[in-house]
Amino acid sequence: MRLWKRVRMAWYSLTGRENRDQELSEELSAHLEMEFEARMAKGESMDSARRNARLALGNMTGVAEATRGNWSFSLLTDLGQDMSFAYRLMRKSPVFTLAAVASLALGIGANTAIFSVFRMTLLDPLAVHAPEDLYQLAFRTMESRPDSYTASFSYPLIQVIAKEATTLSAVTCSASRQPSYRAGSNSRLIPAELVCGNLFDVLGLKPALGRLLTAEDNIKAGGHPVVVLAHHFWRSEFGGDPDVMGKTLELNRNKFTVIGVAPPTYFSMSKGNTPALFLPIVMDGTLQGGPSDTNTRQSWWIRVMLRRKPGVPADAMNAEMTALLQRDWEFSDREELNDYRKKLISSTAASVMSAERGFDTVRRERLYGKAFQLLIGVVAVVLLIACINIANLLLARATARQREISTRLAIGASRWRLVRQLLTESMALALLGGAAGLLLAIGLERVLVFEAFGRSALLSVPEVPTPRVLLTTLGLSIVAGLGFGLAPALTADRQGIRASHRITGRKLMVSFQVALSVLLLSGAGLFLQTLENLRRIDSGFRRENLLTMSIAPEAGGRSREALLGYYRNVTEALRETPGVSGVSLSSIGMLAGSQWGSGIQVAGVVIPPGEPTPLRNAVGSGFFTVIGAKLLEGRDFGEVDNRPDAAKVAIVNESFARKYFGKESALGRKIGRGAQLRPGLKDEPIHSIIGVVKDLKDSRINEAVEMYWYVPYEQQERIEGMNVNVRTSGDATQMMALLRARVAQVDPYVPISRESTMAMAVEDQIRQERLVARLSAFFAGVALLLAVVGLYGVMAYTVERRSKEIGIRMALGETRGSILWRVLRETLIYICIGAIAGVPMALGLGFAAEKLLYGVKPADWVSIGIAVMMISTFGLMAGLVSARRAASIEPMSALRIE
Amino acid sequence: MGKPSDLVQGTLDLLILRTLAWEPMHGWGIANRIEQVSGNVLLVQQGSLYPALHRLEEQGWIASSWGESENKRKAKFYCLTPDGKARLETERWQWERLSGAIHLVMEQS
Repeated sequence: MRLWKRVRMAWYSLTGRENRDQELSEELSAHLEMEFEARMAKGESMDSARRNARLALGNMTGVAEATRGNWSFSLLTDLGQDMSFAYRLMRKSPVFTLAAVASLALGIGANTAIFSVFRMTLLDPLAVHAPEDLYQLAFRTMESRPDSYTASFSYPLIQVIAKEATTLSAVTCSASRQPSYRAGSNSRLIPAELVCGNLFDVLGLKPALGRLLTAEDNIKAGGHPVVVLAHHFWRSEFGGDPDVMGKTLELNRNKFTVIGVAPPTYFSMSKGNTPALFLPIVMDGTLQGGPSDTNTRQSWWIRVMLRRKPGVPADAMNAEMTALLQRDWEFSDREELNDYRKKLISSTAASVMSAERGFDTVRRERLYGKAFQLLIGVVAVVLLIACINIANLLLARATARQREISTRLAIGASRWRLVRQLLTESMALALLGGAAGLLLAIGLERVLVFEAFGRSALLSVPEVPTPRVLLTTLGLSIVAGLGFGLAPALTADRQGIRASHRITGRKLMVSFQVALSVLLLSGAGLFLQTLENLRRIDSGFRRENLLTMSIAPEAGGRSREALLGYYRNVTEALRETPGVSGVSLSSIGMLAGSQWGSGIQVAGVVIPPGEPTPLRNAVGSGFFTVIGAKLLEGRDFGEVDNRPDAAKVAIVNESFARKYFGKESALGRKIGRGAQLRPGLKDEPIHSIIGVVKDLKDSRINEAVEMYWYVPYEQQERIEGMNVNVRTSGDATQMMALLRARVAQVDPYVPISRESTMAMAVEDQIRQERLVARLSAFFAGVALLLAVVGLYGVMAYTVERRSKEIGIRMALGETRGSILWRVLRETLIYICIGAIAGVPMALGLGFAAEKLLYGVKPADWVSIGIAVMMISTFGLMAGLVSARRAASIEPMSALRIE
Repeated sequence: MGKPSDLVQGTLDLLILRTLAWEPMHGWGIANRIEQVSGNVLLVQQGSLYPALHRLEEQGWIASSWGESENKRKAKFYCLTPDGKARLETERWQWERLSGAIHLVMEQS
């Protein structure tokens, strides 16, 4: 019960404080009276007795303070007092409080938000059992490009690993799919994951409802039409219906029975993915309307997660996996085992990668690491500037409070007590700023995730701040509070006795702020230019008023003829729509970020094995005309070419032609796809080249140029799913809904997805750059504002402190103009010191962030120049305000002060 | 504690406890009694008396209650608790050891 007693005492010390104070003061007065009477009795005079009694006891307040210090929880009660005093002070100067809290909120909020997104994306482990033992299987061969790896495997290989591996305690897998989901009379594509039956067991997950998939749900290809819903999908699509089990979902025209709901904490082994459904992987064939790929050793399409036995080193896993991989590949290779293939296979080396933080951590780090580090740096600088500002303001205020502080010291307050009081005040400010910052952070975090990863990733952002976010905010607030509170508190202590007239430190801080602003402003300049350069990249085709959408008729239940007929109908329907000036289909969408390669044969050219091969696309008639590409030689595909029975033709791009034909004309040459696709099948180069097109960047806007060859889509096998490319005569954005409706009219059951204009597609591909540019520009603006406020504060304070001196100067005949210049010159000196310090910092930033730049040199003097000019202009304006006040001082009234 | 004034402070505690072992007393009385008994050698700093009293009370060695002084004045009386009696014994033993030791050292020369 000791604890209870202590709690009661703590409570008493907080609530009963006044009673206790009262008692103490009565006790001390009684003592004084007794001493007085005793002295009187000894014969001292009344005055002398009273005086000596007081002298004997000493400073009453001091004694009371020292006594109180011995009470339990005296720190706590003092804190209560300090807080209420701090509150009264804040009430007294609302503008200062508001400015301080707002700038802190911005700094703390931005830091919290960016750090928590950074942590979520790159640092946090998967929310599963013992994630530290999870590894992703990957391998490299002598053909692999540096820094790249292959991480797809066949299902039979996974089964072999599961059976034979001795270094693993389990192996599981997943593959992404986008089945068409029918709800009512509409169909739409939803993200789903095909998973090994043991996935949930291996990850140690418990169902939110019903049951999860087990190994028994994943045995016979096509034999387990069951589905587990993701928690967010269950909420959004079924309204969190507790009776969802046993309901059926229609996916690609097949019925699947719901058996359970996954826990809300689990999304996917690939961070950022938010699949709506989990299906047994052996149901892949049913889903696609074809044979299952889980029986073919040659189909490598599944990502594999390994759980190592505790304590097994990665090397041991690598050795075992390498052996299994080589054996399996040699056994199942789809090509003749010539010397080259043998060499290739024996060069295979497994490299397991820690998947504690999910699949492809390395790739995610490469993509986002640098940008996040940069942004964290930027917001940290903003917080630093905000803290310097508040420290400056507090210092100014502490000087103004000198009289109060001296009084407190004189009546017996201890120094430490005073410092504590001042620290409490700044802590209160910091915590208020932190609370406001937290609110800001919650909103900002969602904006950040949306900007960086798109709408679907928002699903994985928790709706209420996690304890870690709360801790981050609290930590930042305390650090900030100490940061800006400590200096003023310690100097105020000294100033309590003798006022310090030196404010060099404060002036240097202002210059430091200027330097930091130059850093952020010039950084923003670099990133804004990068963004603009990316938007203006010449992609080889006209992006204005061009839009695309994907149509994905399920392959199951449609003959090849029906599919081709459907595509012709869609093309016709769109061509007849008013406002449309051209329509053509393509199997790989424009700026869709995907690529398709299938090897190459060129008649008369020997292509050494292992050499990078061109990429490929299958397109409709008039494709290059519609997208506005430039034909260097020959002609575009026409209606006559896009027929199954037409003469086989092809168009190649400039890089292709230059590589294989040099300066000769490509027209009339024969090419064909590589002969390695299906064992036993020998393709001849049968496509005659009819045209050469200028290089396009039609996959990603900032990709390197690749070799390409194009064939009419009706002349090739792969035709499930096409992309519609439409050129409009008016604004494409406004036409989008109409065009989508026209396509839906042709067949309402075909899901339409990814409709976007080229402008939208570009924006989509430069998310990261845009995020960096926007945030750095925004925070550079904030930094500029704060620095100017800081500059103004210091100059105003200087003028006020020196008003007497200025008065004397004027009385002695100095002109107002000269006074004005005197103050302006001082401002200019701070700005110059700051700018000189800021330029090397800006250069450093440029070189550190070189990888994030496009079309800009790291040492970009234009950005730096503009940055220096901006801070100088605004800084001088702030200085001018103070200078004018100085010049308008009336000598007489200035001298009369004091 | 553990400050340079340890000895003095510890001594004051011992003196207060010893004084209260006779009878409950108020603060002024304690100071006065110590002075009288020590033949005016030990002068209690009145300013440090009350912090000490409150510290001892927080530690549970003495307890306080309001009563009436000899001059019919309201005053706060302190008395020794059972814990305090035990503490007094410990302090007394420590003091005797210390003073004995100092005595030994002084005799050596």
